[in-house]
Amino acid sequence: MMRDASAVEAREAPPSSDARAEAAGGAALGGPGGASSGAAPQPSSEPRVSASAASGVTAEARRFLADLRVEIESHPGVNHLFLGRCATSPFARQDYRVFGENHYPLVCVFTSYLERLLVRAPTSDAKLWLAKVLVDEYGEGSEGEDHATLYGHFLRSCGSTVPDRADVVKVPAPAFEFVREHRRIVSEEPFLVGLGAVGPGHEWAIPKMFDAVIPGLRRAGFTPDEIGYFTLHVEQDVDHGAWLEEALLRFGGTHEARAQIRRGAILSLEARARFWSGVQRAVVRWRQPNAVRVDGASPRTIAREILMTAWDGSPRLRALEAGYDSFLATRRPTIRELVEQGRR
Amino acid sequence: MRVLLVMPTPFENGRLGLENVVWLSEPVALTSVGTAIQDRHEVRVLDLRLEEEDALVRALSTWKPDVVGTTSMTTDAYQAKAVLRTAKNVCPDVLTLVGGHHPTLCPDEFDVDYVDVIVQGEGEHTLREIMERWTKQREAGDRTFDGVRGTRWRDANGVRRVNAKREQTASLDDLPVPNRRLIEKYQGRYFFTAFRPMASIFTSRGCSFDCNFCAIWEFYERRTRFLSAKKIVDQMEACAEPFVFVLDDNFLTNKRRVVELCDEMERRGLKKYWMTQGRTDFAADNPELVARLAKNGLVMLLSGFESNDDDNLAALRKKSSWQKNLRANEILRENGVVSTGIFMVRPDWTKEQFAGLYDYVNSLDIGIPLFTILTPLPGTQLYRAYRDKLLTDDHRLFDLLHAVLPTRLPREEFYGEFCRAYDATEKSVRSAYKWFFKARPTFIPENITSIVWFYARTWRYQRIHRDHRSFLRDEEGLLNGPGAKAGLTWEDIAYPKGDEHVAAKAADDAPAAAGGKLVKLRIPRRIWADDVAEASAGVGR
Ligand code: B12
Ligand code: SF4
Ligand SMILES: [Fe+2]
Repeated sequence: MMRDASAVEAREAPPSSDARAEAAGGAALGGPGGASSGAAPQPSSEPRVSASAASGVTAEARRFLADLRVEIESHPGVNHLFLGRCATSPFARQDYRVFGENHYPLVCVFTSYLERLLVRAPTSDAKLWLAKVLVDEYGEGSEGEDHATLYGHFLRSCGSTVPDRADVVKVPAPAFEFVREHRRIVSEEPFLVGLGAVGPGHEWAIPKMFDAVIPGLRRAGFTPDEIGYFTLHVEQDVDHGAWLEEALLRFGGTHEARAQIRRGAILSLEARARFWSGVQRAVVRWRQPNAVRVDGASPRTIAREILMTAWDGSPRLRALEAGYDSFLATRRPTIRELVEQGRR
Repeated sequence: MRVLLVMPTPFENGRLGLENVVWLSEPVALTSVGTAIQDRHEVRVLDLRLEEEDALVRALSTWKPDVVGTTSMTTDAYQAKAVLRTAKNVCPDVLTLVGGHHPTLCPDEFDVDYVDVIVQGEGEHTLREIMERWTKQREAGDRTFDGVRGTRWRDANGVRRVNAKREQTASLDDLPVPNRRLIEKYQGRYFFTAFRPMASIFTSRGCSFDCNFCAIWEFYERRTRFLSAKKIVDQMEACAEPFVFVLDDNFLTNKRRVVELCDEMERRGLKKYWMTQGRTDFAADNPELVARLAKNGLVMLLSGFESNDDDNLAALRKKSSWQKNLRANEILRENGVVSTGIFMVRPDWTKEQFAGLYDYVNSLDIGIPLFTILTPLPGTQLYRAYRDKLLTDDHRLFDLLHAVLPTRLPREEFYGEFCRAYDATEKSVRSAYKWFFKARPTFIPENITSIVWFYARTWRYQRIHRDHRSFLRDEEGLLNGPGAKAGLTWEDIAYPKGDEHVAAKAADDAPAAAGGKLVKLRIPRRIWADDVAEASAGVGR
C-alpha cells in the first residue's frame, strides 16, 4: 500500500456542510452517479480520462477531494469498532498473530491491483502516474524491502510461520473475499472506479485505521522495528501524498469521473468493513472456538435458537459443518497462489 | 442538542459473557440520565449489545450527535473507551462523556484525549449541568467545565481538572422516572434466564453493608436511599412486560419499606412477576415477609450466598452465616421464589474445598446456582489489599470467571474444578424445579416457550463453560500484571481470612495461611471522594 499521502490542505479545509450530509452513510452512499456495493459494472460509462481538464475544475475538484476525505474517514470500514478495540484493549501478541495472518494476504497482493490498473490506464499520463507509485510500492524508501517482506517480519515477531509457508497456507476467508472484490473492481469496473478503490479508498483509509492499531501493538510489547510496516503507513510522505492528490485532481475533472472515483472508494471501504468483522471473529475464535453467536439487530425466533442448539449439539452435524468449511478452504488458493494469480 | 447515549458491548463481539444467556439488563443508567435532559434535548440510546457491528458509526455519521455519552463497569472499560474514541474520530467536534462504576472508582483510566468529561457518582443532575454549559459553550468550542460538581474535565492544555464531588440526590422520588421509550426499539429482548420479556427498574440506591469485594457501598458512600412504595408500583404497572427486574443491590434491607411496598401492591392488586437482589439473612429472618412478597409477584431472588463456610464469609466481611443461607433458601423455595445463589470460589482452594461447595449447593436445592471466582474488583477493599499481587491488569478478566490472583492448584486443575460446577450441582437445580412446580403449578406451562428458549441458549454457552481449556485460552498471553511479573505464587499471598474466626480456627487454617501474614482488611477508606479536598483546592491532575 502506498504511504500516506495526507493531503494536508484537504484535511485542514473545513468540510462543507452538504458534503457532511452526503457522507451521512445509508441512503447517501450511492451518491451522485454512484452505486451501492452490489451494482453491476458500467463499462459503457467510462468517462474520458484526461489531464487537460485539470486547470479549469480545480476548485470544484478540490472541494470534491475534501468532501471525499471526510466521507472516507468517517466510514464504518475505517472506524470499525474492532480497530477501536485494538486501540483500547490489551490484546496479546497471540491476538495480533491471528490479526496479522488474516491481514497478510492483503499486503502481499496490493501491488497487483496497481499493475492491473496500469495495464488498463487509458492515457499515458495515467500510466506514468501509476508506474511512479508502483516503483515506490516495490520497496523504494523502505530500504529495498517491499511491504510484504516488512509484514513478514511483523508476523514472525508474533510467532507466526505463515510467511515461510505461503505456498501451503490457504488464504483465510475474510482476506480472500476482500481481495476478490478488489480484483473485480480493478478489472471489471471502469478505470476510475478502480483508481478510487486503490487510491483514496486505501491511501486515506489506512493511516486512520493503523492509527488505532499501533497503540495496541505498542501495548502488546512489539518493538518499533517489529511494527515498522504499520508506522510506515501513517508517517507522512509528502511526495507520495502530492502524487495522489495530483492524480485525483487531474482525473476527476468531470462530475461523472468524480462519481466513479467516489464509488470505487466506497466499494473498497465496504469490503474493508466486512474484512474487519471477519478478522475480529477470527481473533475471538482462536480463544473461543465455540464462541456464542452474537444476537445482532434482529431477535432470533425460538425455532432458530433450538435448531442452532441441535446443530451445535450433534457431533455429526458439527463434523459436517467442519467438513464443509475445510472444503471451502481447499477451494481457496494458498497465499503464494493468490499472489501468482495477481500477476497473471 | 442531539445526545447519543451508548451502551457498549461487554467484550469483543462473540466472546463469552453473562449477557449472552444469563442476564441482559436494560441500560438503566442511560435511560435515567437521558430522561433528566430530555425536556431540552433530543436523546437517543444505542444498545450495542443488540445491534450490528457498524451501528455506532452509522448513527454517528447519519445523526451527527453533539454529545456522545457511554457507561462502564470494570469489565467493559475498554469497550466504553473504544466507543468514545470512535465518536471523536467520526465527529471530531462532539463532546464525549463517560460515567458509571468504573470511571467513578478509577477515573484515571479514562484520562485520555478522546474523553472530554468523566462523570463520577450519580449522573442525572451532573448531566443536566453539563448540557446547560455545553449549550452555551459549544459554539466557541469551549470545553471548560469548572464548577460542575461530580466531573473531571480536560482543560485546553490537556490537563485533567477535578471538580468537587456531586452530592447524592436526597430523595429518589425527586428524580424523573427513567423514560423506557428511549429503548423502545429493544423492548422484548431483555431477560434474566427464562424470565422474559423483562423490564428493569431501580427502587433504591446503595447498601449499608461493607463487604470487602463489593464496590456498591463505596460508590454510594454507605448511604441507602429508597423510592416510595407508590412510585415503585407506578413504575411496575407502567411496564408492558410481564417480568420486571428490580436492580437494587440490596432490595431486602429496610423492613418498614418492604411492608409498605407489600401494602401498596396488595391495595392496587399488582399483577406482575418481578425479580430482585437481596441478602439471605434478611430472608431467613423474615419468613412472613418473604411469603407476602412472593404472593405479590416476587418470583426470583438473587443473593450472594458466597460460601458454605463461616470463616470464608467472615473473610469477605459478609456478616452472614451458612445457616442463614440454608434457612433463606428453604423459605424461598417453599414460597415458589426461585433462588439464584452466587457462590465464590477462592484461588487458594483445594479440590476438597470445591467438592465441599458443590455438596453444599446440592444440599440446598438451589434453583440457579452461579459460580464466581474471588476477584479484587477495582474500587473495593480487596483490590487495595491485593493490587500488587494481581496476575493481570486486563479488565476483561475481572468478570469473576477468571482467576486474577495466583491459584493454589495448577491453573488447569483449578479451572477443571471450576468448570465442573454446573454438572456437579445439577441435582440441586432438578430438585428446585420440583419445589417451584409445586408452589407455582401454572408458571412453567405458561412460560414454556421462554424456558425452552433459555435452555437452547444456555446449552450453547455451557459448551464453553464446561471446557476448562476455554478459560486457559482466554488468559493466554494476558497474565502480565505486577504479580505475574514478579513470579508470585499462591504461597506468596495471604488470602483473606475471617478476623473473628482466626483465633478459634488458627490450627485448622494453617495450610491456607502458609507463607503469608494475615491481611488487615480494614484499610483506611481512600475512596474517590477523597479527591474532593484536592479539587476544592483547585488542583488539577
Ligand atoms: C444490571 C447489572 C449488570 C448487567 C449488565 C449491566 C447493564 N447495565 O446492563 C449484567 C448482568 C450483564 C452485569 C454483569 C456483571 N456485573 Co453488573 N451490575 C448490574 C447492576 C445490578 C445494575 C446496573 C444498573 O443498571 N444500575 C442502575 C443505574 C441507574 O445505576 P448506575 O449504573 O450506577 O448509573 C448511575 C451512575 O453510575 C451514573 N452513570 C452511569 N453511566 C453513566 C453514563 C453517563 C454518560 C453519565 C452522565 C452518567 C452515568 O449515572 C447513573 C444514574 O445516577 C449493578 C449494580 C447497581 N446497582 O448499579 C451491577 C454492577 C455494575 N455489576 C458489577 C459487576 C462486578 C458485574 C460483573 C463483573 C460480575 C458479575 N458476575 O456480576 C459482570 C461483568 C459483565 C460480564 N459481561 O461478565 C459491579 C461493578 C463493579 C465495578 N467495579 O465495575 C456492580 C456495581 C455490582 C456490585 N455489587 O459491585 N451487571
Ligand atoms: S455484596 Fe451485597 S450486601 Fe455486601 S456490600 Fe455489596 S450490595 Fe451490600
Ligand atoms: Fe504499502
